[in-house]
Amino acid sequence: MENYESYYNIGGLIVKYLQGDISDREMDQLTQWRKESEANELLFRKFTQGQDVLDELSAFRAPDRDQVLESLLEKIQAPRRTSFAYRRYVGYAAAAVLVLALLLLIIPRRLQTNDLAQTSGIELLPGGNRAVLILEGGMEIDLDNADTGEIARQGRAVISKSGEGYIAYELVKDDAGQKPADVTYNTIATPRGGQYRLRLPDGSRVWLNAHSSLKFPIHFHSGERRVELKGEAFFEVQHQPDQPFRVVSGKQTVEVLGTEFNVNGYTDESGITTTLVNGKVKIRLGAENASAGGVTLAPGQKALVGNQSDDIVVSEADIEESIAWKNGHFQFNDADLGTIMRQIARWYDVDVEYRGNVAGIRFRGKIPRDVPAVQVFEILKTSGINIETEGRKIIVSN
Amino acid sequence: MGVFRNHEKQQSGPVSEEEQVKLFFDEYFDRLAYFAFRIIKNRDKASDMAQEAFFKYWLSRSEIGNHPVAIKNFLYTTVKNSCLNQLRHEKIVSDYAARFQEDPQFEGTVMDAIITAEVLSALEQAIRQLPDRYRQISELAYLQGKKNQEIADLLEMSVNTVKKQKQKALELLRMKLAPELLGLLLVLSTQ
Repeated sequence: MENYESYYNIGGLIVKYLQGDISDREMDQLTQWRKESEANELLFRKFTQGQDVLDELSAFRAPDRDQVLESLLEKIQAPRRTSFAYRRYVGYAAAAVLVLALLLLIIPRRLQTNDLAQTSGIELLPGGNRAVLILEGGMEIDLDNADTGEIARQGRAVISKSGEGYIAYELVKDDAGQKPADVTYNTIATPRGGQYRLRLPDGSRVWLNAHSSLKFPIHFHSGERRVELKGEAFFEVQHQPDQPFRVVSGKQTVEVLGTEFNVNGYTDESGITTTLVNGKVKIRLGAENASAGGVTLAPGQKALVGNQSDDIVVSEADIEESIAWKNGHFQFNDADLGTIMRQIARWYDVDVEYRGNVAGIRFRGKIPRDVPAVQVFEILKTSGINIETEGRKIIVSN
Repeated sequence: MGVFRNHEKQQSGPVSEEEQVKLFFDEYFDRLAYFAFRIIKNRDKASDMAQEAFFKYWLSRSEIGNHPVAIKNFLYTTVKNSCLNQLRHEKIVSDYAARFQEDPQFEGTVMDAIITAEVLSALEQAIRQLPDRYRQISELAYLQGKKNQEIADLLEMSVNTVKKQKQKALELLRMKLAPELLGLLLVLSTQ
């Protein structure tokens, strides 16, 4: 075994030098090392020439690091998979699931869906970037069919589709310098199996999940920025201290200064859940801004406003689970079957029917959202439930 | 692709092995793969060698311990030896006349590669600790080498904003650049 400790030390000294954070004694050590040989001096100079370092930095990361990590984990965990307890809970059957998931990785996707599609009839494809923009006056624009570039103008707002699944509102300067008197609203709505992203006139960004809609003013020029949400969206709000951002969903109002949070207000869930990732929000009941009170969330917390009651219950959130949809997955942490199937129903645009006793089953894990439904069903089936499809109807039984 | 996690313990308990491997991997993999790449000039083989060394470490980690110097000595030495074997193999394959001997020049290359790997790794870590906006821009511009226009499109901002934020990120990293080359850098970052 070689001992390269002196190299690690020199590396550390060079970094300190580059960051202007080096003590006199350390500088002496570095100078000493540079004097030891021409090679040392040249190496030192390479780092102090700004462009070289930055070039090397872009070549630093291994391009295949994710695959290597997976492969390494496989090797390391391989001998352990000798026995596993057979239980209802997916957590304990995860070893079998891991095998299946790995098999799914190895077998080319087209092969899998062909085999399975024969038995299920319709191929249930995952959702995609689909939405409709409804302008003031009722005109509807089908966003998935629109070309990129400017798609409409409303008042001072220029609406452009800047990429797949993304539209942006930009305000142009008004020649007259006047602010319009009445507020113009637009609505963006996603169907089941749709999702879309939107940049609001103030620069805030919204990710809209399936079967959801957001109604928003095209100019934010009053003392607040107020939008109405149905369904689920993730917000990244620009900080504007004199204009609080308010999200009204059903009987709840979320008040925000500048922050990242998710609101899940689907009416077929048990209540409205707001998860705070960053920043600060206040949850209040009622859609008007007059009422006092409410609950302030800290990052990492979530608030649940139940359908049946008017309590706001705050608890610790599993952020990854709450915003997994925005990142392209389904993620479940001890979730019940109903929660999972409702998400699947919205994303794949299917209806779910339950037969038999499937109540106690809970799931933990992460499944990608961009795969045909059959793959998701295969993973769920390994926990002991049975899933059959009849066209767009899913029958879950035990 | 999503992978089902093999949760055998409650989340509030000790860190799972998978998590430990990931932490260890995140800390050391890039620099070791970079080190190998500098020597044998082949990305795929470099990653393979680094992966093997990581696997070997993992199997013997109780003997090697977790002091960073010990870990790095093991990893760098293991990868260096694999590289040496690879180079020797290539020399044989390409019909080099001379028998391969211990080469002082090779050791010089090793020093260069290790020190560079360590410095770049430290800079990458410094970038990871920047505030979100500058971390993101540094990630795209400096770690992924994306051009200003690409970044402007990705982050939905103007090229000017990209340039300004890149400059600010460098300031935050307190990267000391040779003054005469600072101008050159600004010119080059207009690409």
